[in-house]
Amino acid sequence: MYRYDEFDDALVRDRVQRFRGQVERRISGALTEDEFKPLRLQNGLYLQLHAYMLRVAIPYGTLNSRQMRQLAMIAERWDRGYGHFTTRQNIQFNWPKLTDTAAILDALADVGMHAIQTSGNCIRNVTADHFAGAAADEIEDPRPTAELLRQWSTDHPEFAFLPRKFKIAVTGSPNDRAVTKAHDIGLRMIRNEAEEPGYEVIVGGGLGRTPMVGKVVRAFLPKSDLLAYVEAILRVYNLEGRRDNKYKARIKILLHETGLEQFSAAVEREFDDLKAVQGGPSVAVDPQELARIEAYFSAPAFEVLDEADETFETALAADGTFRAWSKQNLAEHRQPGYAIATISLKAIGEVPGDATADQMRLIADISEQFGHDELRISHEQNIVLPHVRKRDLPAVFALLQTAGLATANLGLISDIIACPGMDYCALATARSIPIAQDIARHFADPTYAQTIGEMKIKISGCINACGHHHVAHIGILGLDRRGVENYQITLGGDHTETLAIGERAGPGFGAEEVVPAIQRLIDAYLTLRNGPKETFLMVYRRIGAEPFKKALYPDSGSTAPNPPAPSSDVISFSGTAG
Amino acid sequence: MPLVTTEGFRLIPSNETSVSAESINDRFVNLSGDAQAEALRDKLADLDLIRIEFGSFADGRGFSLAKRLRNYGYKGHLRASGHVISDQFRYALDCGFDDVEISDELARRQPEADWVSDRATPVSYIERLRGRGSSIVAQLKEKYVSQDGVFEQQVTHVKHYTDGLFSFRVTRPSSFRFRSGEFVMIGMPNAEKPIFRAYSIASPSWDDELEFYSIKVPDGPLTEHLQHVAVGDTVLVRKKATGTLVADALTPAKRLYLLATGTGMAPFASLIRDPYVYEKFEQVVLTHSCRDHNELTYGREAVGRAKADPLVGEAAQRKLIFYPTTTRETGPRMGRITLHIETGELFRSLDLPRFDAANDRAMICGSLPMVHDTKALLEAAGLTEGSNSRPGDFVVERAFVE
Repeated sequence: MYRYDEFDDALVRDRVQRFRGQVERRISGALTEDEFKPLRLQNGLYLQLHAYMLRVAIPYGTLNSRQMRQLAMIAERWDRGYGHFTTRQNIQFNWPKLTDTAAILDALADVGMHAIQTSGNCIRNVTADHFAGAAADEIEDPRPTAELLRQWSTDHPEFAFLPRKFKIAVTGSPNDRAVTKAHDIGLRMIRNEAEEPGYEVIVGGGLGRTPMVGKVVRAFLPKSDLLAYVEAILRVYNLEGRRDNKYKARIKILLHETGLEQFSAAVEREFDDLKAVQGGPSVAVDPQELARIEAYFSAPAFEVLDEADETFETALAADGTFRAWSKQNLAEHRQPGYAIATISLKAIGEVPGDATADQMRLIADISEQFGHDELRISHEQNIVLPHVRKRDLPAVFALLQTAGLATANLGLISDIIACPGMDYCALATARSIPIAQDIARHFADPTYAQTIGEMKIKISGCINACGHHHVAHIGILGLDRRGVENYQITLGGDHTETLAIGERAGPGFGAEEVVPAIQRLIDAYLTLRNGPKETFLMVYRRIGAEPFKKALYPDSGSTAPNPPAPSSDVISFSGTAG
Repeated sequence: MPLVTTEGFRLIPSNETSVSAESINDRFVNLSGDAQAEALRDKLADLDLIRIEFGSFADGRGFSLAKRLRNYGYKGHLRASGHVISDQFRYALDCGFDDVEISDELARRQPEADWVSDRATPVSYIERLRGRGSSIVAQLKEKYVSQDGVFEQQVTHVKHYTDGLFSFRVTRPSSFRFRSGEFVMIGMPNAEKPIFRAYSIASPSWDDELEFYSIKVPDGPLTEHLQHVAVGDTVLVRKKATGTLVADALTPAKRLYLLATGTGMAPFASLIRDPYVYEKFEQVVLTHSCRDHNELTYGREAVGRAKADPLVGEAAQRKLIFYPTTTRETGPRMGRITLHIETGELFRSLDLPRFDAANDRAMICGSLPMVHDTKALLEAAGLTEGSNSRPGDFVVERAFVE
């Protein structure tokens, strides 16, 4: 993985010093509150409902045991003993004091971490496939691209004051685990007919209050043109993106209003200019630098092993809980004898994505002892051990069991994504976490959850959609209807390479009605499916929304009436997302 | 309305203050954030000054507009105007602005020191991606070496050229080695942790003294003290010199261009007295661009000294050509060097062919915009940037200011 040298270290420390100075200049009056705010946000510091929140970047979700232990230390020393892993591969500390933030940033810098550009109207933390460098289906490792973009976008002189936030995701595998079609720019690493490496460039995806599926702006971009092309996209966006209305300021709206053809033409024209004129792209990357970055991501020293392992097979045969966990939480590794193990942060009844300091330390120990000292944070708010020998899995599982981290529910109904909701967030219009906890408790029986099979439930506490409810098989959106929480259900969303936005089922439900409503949907699915291999999403795609709507609204006759669209003046919030 | 320049706060030149927000004439243009750069594309060669309005510092369109104008080949003066905060100064310069015009109110809230310190960061990922990482790391290492890595040297000579420029010489420690064109960190023994700044050594590697050429920044943490040095005072010199403006970083060719603005002259004052340079190149063209004639004096003297030098004088007289220009004061040759290159004036008046990668090599040292634009012109002519580890057709360094 990428390791800081003296250069990175100096850069991060300089940034902390700069932020200290900015805080002092805010206090002295040299900076007004308006001027200070974006500077504060670009250093990861949000003002939340009850307190400040510090969002720390975990670039493309990768960290080592030392960094994980430092996050545990920070959680204990300056927060309430836990941290919250987000859907964009960050970690948030929800209770730091403003006066402690510089000290926290220093502690992060000690292990090569920072909170730079984790919020604000700038290019955010670049995300990537959490199975990068390990997955059997990978064409090319997306991490060097993500790191290149991270460096390029850090303190970028031209793109620090964009119309709105800007998120980039990269995947190197045809099975898209990075939700590239729901990002401002999604990059899919592909090969052209001549087998040359390059990218499919997707622009203008996003969830939020106006969910949109990203569109292919360039079907094949040669690898060496990446920074020039991204610069062209960002320049067109920075100049043309709407600044009159913050809810229409994302690039997806620009693309939508301009039209794909015209938008692509504008980008290509800018790109041609960059390639042709003497100025050239702002950064023509030194090939030695590129090679240096790539070298950091070479594979760890894998042992040469047989695919089958006796210890692993014996444990599978002997222990039903281990068998259930292995079936659910392991993924195929490219290296024979190895597996990718995902640690669920969705223990029944716990807060999705939260980990205590003790849990973080145990995970750090496991990665150091059994996992080539590497960890990944997934956008589904779980933690991944990317390289584990199958032989070691029984030992890893036993250790996870000691800390409540062995839940065998990956991809099942209780593996719920939920935003912090009204328990933390100033923007939320309803609670998310208690709903997630209720559902998980209701479907706690592992055998029943296995019977239901693959099921993605995602919950957002407001229309900013940090919980990604639009791309859930069953999405839940919490709104405020005249002071009462009301939960809308969407059906048939998909967060993978076949990305789809879920369809709203009908009128919303009160908080206590949500679990029975989900149960009705599950009952309908189990009745309608052609055997256990047909997932909820497959059934939905085969027969459509109607039968599920009938199940959801049994008293409304044939079809549920479509409720009026929520008017934006009923819902009051001021809009931002993870 | 103060003007923030790379050299600190200045008054707006009187011939430019007449440009009101409404007035647009043949040579001056005001643009707002929503202006379309394309519309100006054909007229850029005729313009001297473009002023881009920032209605709010949070509206970053001006940065992209500036970048686009520079990419379209605009070489004239580019000024940001309005609500730009000191925390954005380095961004503005990097996007191609020459200076920023701010309100009196903002200048009071964010004094000169705020703007100066915004540029102090030596580390940026973009610079490293451009291949300057090793040189920056070397600079960082210099910055952090302990005090025992420092020589204490005595000042032997001081000369003031203008209100803002002076040179001085110090004794040279016998163990101090450097290559002509390199820089070293220097400081004053006036604090427990003295402030060090990088300075190009303006004397050649064989000289028994070290010479430096400096601007005076009013509130600059080092130059505010350094400008008062007198003969006999002590100056601290770090033990290791480094830099990319060395003859070894260029591949062999016929002709060497040394392109300087302001105190960017310093490393070239060293190189034009190094015999190795004349061995390696048949011809050396030194250009120096400053606002007025007085600021050209140091460079002119350096050329005179080179031609009169017992060691290299004979070679310098045959091979060295000096090409000074002024950018403000009226004189025989006026305008930025980039203009002279683009129009071909430089080559016509010296009877030389235009840049070509087979015969020409170059070193650039000056302000950030000048470095940026000149580099673009060299690259357009097919020259590629080199470094110590990978010699190439040209090398670049920013002139050091506080």
